[in-house]
Amino acid sequence: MPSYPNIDLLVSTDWLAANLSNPGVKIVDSRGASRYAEGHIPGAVNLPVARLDDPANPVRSMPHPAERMATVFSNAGLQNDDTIVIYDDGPALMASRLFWVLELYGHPKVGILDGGITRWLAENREISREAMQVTASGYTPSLQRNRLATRDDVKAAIQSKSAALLDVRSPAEYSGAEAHSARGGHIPGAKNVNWEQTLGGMNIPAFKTEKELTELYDAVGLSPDKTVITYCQGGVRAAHSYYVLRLLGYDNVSNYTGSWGEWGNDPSLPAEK
Amino acid sequence: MTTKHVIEVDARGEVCPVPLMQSVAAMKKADGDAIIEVLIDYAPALDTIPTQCARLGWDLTVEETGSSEWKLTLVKKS
Repeated sequence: MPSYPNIDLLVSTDWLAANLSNPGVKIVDSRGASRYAEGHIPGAVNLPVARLDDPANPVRSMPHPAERMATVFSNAGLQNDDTIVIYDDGPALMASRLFWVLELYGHPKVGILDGGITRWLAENREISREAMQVTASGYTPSLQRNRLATRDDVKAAIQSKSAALLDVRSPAEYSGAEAHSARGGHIPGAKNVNWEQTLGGMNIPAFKTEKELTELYDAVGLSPDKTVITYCQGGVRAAHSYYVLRLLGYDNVSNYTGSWGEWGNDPSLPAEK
Repeated sequence: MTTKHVIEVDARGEVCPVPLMQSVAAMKKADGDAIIEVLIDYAPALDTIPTQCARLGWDLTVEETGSSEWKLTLVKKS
């Protein structure tokens, strides 16, 4: 497994296999319920990322408020002092989204399984089809407001130039040639690094090396000392790049989860093409 | 009178941008005699999929089938 400045955020399959029975380690399958039922890592609980969003919020991809998230996390059996290992079966889009939400709510020990269940299966490791019996815990979320960027935060950052805006959508979405909102384009001043450019691996999902990722972000003027706001269309790809930046040692990163889904549909907000 | 055949896209458990990509791929592949039913449980896709339906010339109806689950029915405009 390649090394990264914040390597604690990436968990190897060897480490997880050695800690399957560790009561302080909680494994979370972030996929949908049907894929979890088809087979999951032994001991994993299922917490589909679709359950993390607040359906009552006009910003579609806004996570539940703390009091509701406490119930969601508690019903998954998570405890505040758990070491949480998240996985999915793709390029860690779902795992990253849950990673971001857990950091948003102040969970201190959370990482993503390198290669997810795809690597686990490729290594012929054990799989379970038994749903975990979960005892509801008393999880207490602690909102870390600096992990979330709102529309007003982005507007302020544009004015004060206090943060770099990172648009992680495709170049076609960034330029406005492809639009999934009422208008195409991007937030003024945002730099474009497509989230897919961070991916390595062929058959097994992986992240590019530290050197490759550093060069990728260096090319648009980013470095770990900068404050960065990531965004995409609905805050999921942005959470993936958020995770990659955290892996590279960036401390001051937030996710504008409203993203272009909110910004592009509000004609009062400035846009560039 | 021709009978339309149904193409099902089950994107439940998927998050942005996967439901959109699967829906667009189905629309591009389908002929005019197809009805596409897209199952989703990720609410932001309720914004992105209709936009692409309009661009690609498909009518869309949305039915809430459960708690945070929807069926989107796509029919090619005649």
